[in-house]
Amino acid sequence: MSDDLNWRPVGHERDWPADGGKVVQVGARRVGVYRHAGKWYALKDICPHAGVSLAKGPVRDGVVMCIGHGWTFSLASGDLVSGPAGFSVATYAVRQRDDGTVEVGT
Amino acid sequence: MIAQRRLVVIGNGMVGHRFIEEAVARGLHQSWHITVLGEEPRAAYDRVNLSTFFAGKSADDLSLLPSRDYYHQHAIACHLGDKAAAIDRASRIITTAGGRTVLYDRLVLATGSFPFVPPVPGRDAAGCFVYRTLDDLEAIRAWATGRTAAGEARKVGVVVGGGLLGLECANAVKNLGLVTNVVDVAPRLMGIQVDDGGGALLRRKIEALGVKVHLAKVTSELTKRDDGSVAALRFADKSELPTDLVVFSAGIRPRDDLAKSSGLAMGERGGITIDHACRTSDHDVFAIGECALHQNRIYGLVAPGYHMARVAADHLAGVEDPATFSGFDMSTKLKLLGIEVASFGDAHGSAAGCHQLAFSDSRTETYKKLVLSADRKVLLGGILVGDAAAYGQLHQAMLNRIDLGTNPEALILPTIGDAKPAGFGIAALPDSAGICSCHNVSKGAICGAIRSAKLTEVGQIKSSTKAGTGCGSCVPLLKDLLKAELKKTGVEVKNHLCEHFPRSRQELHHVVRVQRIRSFDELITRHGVGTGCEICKPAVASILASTWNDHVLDAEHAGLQDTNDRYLANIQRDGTYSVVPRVPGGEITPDQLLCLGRVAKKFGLYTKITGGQRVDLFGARLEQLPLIWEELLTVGFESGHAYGKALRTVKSCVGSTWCRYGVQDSVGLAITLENRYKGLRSPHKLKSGCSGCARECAEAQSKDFGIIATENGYNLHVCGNGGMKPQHAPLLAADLSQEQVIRYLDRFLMFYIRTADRLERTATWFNKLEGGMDYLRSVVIDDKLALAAELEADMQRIVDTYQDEWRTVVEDPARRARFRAFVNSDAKDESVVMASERGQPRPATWEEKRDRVANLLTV
Repeated sequence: MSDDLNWRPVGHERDWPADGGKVVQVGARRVGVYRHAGKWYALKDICPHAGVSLAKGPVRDGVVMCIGHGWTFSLASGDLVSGPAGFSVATYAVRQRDDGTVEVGT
Repeated sequence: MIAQRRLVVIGNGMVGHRFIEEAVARGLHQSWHITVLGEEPRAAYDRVNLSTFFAGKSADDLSLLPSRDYYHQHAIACHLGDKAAAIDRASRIITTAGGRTVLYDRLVLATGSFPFVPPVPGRDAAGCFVYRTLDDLEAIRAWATGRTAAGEARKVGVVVGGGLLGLECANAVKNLGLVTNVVDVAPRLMGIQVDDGGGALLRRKIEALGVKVHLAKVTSELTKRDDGSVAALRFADKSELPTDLVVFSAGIRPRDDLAKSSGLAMGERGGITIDHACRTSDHDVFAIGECALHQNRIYGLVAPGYHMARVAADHLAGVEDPATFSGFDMSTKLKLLGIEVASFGDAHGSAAGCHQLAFSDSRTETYKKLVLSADRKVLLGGILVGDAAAYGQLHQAMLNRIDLGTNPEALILPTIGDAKPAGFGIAALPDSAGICSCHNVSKGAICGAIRSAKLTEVGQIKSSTKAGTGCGSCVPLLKDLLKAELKKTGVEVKNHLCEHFPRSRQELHHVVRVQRIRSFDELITRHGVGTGCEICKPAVASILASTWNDHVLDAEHAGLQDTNDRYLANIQRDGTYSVVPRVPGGEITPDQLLCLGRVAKKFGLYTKITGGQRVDLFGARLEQLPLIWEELLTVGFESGHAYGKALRTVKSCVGSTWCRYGVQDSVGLAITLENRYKGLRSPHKLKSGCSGCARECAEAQSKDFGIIATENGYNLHVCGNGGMKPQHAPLLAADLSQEQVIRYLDRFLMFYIRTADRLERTATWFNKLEGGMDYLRSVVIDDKLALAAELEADMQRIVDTYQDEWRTVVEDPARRARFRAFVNSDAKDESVVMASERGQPRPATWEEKRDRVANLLTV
């Protein structure tokens, strides 16, 4: 990960479930931060389809499913995995420090 | 250009329509110009299930057309409400009652049948009907709901005819709410399909439903009132049966007048004579269905009619090796007034030297008879009343002449203890065995489809082969075939919970209890591999909760929970949550009602009454949940567990305290039970109902456990289900005291929790339980497994350690801190936007909220 990024702490790893997402604020941005299968991911937290918070949806097999209409997005790329083509959400860099602090880089 | 040839079909009943579908399947609509003429104003509908029209089905529900514009789509001209009046075979012209003339090159007659009305004096009285078309049903309904000349409601109906059609018709009259009588000249019901033993049981069962049966009664006259409406049936023995309505349903006669007047060859007693290709005496004219006479026989069921449709279509299409009609197996399985009846082959044992085996049980109300060949090796036929589950297998054994071995009795005798019910392995059937007779699909075709398309579910077999989509009686066989085929192809049907635990849920439950394991981490370290997944985590969370009853949001359990359990609320599609406080038995105080209203207004929530006698508050943002509960707790509300795989509600009717009919205090019992089992985590949700009398207003028989009050106590029903696949809850035990109800429920519920698979409702669990209700009774009542004391103790521990999950959260700042929209801020969730509809909030549509959330999208 590039260190040109501006890393900002958003919480401690114990705030997250073993597998799943939570929403954080990074300045004016709403970011969904996910822990899944031992890795961290971060996506812009609004479904481009109907404006629902993505991080509330279930996470499995590397995708998060929107609670609104069941569209799924790749946690790694933000690309739409199932649903009408042509939508995606932005991704962000995210990391966990040795002391458990979770940081998002912008 | 050669002018397209013209194919005309007269009749748009079930068989006439099936012919069109068969014709389209063969591409006939591309090479012929097809015209359909129908007398009724409606396109083809399901006459077999006509009685459901009075149980709430609409004419549209009964329609057989795959889509409304099916005929138009396939360029088939369809003229309904215009009866064909004459056929000029010399010029090949049909004229209709409406004055239309239609030319044909080939003609298919599917004119069906009409109900036979015995020639008794007075049959023209007002209030006398036949039972054949939707128009007939509408006329019957109008009369039944009308008033007599004296201004009284009509109360009594009589069906003349105790055969298959008569009983179906009795169901319709009963559905109309009339006192229903069935009259027949024969000494038993369904004389064609069942024998004296089966008929007697059928009569008992039908009478238990409140339908009065009058057999061996010859109607000599219908008497009339002054206004010309029917007053009573007068019988040859001079007795009378007063009535407000009469429906004749005593058999059918072929509608052959059109064919007769056109000079086609007819049977002596009617019916259009056809050959093996379903051709009439005119090479260009076919006849199919109930108007056709094949080797002096009329076939009055739909399956043979469908087969004729196939035969005629094959011959018209000129396919190689066309199907032929050479008689038809009239075996049948049906449900009449909710009673299963099956009859197959030589049901009356008319073959020379044959043996008959019969088993009759007055407790379970079943009658089963087998007719065996002289050497007792081969099944020739049989009758099943009350329980026809074995029909598929027995029918196949008969058709395929399977060797029954030395002990054919076992096929109908009830099983004792853990013994599996006897039966033939499905493997014994040859590939040519016809499994689905409605769609003519063989075992070979089904197994081939399973193998080649890698099918794994019965639904896939249905859509891929059409098997099981007609009457549905072969569906159990499809399941067996699927299981056998999957096993053969090496797809092992494992019962492991998931890849992380090489054990079944039942085994895991056992080790958790016996080894006193209290956390997921401990369980996976000792008995699993890896870190777990979305299947095993919630399943283990449920096992732990139903064993140790810790708070589901305790640190070591919180991360395991499913989406809804995670925040003790039900997430909705806009990302908000709904809140359902517990209302035991549906009894709620005015103060609680006021509190609900106050909370809804204060937090801007949408309110709706649920099906379980509670109030659901929708539209709460995550951070509002503890604040909402803070207020709900003040008037005594507790968590309703609507979010959990746990006990939901015990619905009740008002019971003997208020209701004039109630025989016990159903509300009191419902509250006791709901308070006892509230918070109980289980493999799937649990619903219950408690009715104060046999009128069953609480719908207890559609619940996982249901109690119905009797004069002597309570009847306990278990393993019912509403939802997608409704199933009635069978009776576990009758006339129990309240203490017995609780004891049996403790045992039953714990036994289910221990042994069911994950996400398996009680009904599904029960259907898989070998030995069925007898086995369940032996465990729960007779304590055959010597488990009862343990099950009761386990339940008592859950009851004793109950805590209100929401009170614990509200009173504990650490747990409360989880309920924030953002991990790192107390800001409110701006993505939630409401609009207003019918005076209440609802989630805004994207168009309505786009501007409001635009800033969230752009940054």
